[in-house]
Amino acid sequence: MARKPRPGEVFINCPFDTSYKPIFDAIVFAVYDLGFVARCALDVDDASQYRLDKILELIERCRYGIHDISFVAIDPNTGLPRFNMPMELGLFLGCKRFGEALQRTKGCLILDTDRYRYRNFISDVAGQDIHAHGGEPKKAIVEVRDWLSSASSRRMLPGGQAIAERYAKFRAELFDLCAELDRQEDSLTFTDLSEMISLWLQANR
Amino acid sequence: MTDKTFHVVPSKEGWAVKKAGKKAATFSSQDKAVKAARKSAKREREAQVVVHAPNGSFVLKEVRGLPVVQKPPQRSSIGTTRISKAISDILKERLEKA
Repeated sequence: MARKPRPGEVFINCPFDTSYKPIFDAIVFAVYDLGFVARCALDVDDASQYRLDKILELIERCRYGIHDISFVAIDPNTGLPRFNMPMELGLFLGCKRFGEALQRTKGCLILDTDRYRYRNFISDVAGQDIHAHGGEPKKAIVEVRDWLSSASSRRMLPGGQAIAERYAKFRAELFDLCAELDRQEDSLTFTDLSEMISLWLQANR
Repeated sequence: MTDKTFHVVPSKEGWAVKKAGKKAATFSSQDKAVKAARKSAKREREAQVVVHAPNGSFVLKEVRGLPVVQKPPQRSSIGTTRISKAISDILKERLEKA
């Protein structure tokens, strides 16, 4: 059965590599600070579901999507590009184009390190909201905030600078928080991090 | 960036309203402290009131001028109560030092 997209949910289609984690965490933090819920393939723990089914379900459910294509590059080990992110971006755009009326209200932000790099490998996305974060978490926060503010037309959203400052404070406390919880920062799951961010923000704005 | 949260916390005198950078005010009951925190929050453009229980859990009582932080759809296996307590402990320590 077709699901209505939830206006408060944001599909995060980003690399899960360790080197990308500072930007990934910053995006998830910004989404929660703006009053939305971050969803990604990592938060579905139903092992019986095929990965693509999980992704399709999340795409259908989320009104907004943040797609980072900055990791589309030749893998030195295989000599092939990694194409999961552009494929999920295509699925999101297809859902918006061919879905029921409410699916057509979907909006997406495309992030890359450089604003015009996409022209060399996925020029068909020209005309979409493509923004550059330059590999910087703070810039990613500002881009997510400005886009989500405009796409959702929600009022009273905190500014990008305020979110970035809160994120820096959260990062500074994360070590102590993990120590209190007997956890290592790099062993936190997406679900752990999401709940920690949500609870931390409730008490620390 | 200034903190926007008024914390209602248990204290030796009963209950206190604390905010980073401001002198704490004490009250004989939690109700009185929450009322005072709400009154202070109303004077701000952006503010929140968080009530901390003696067991370390906390509840967001009021949000003004800011979006309400949503809960994630899945619960962490660490446990909401444990995470809340750890956040609250670190926060109270920071407020004591301020």
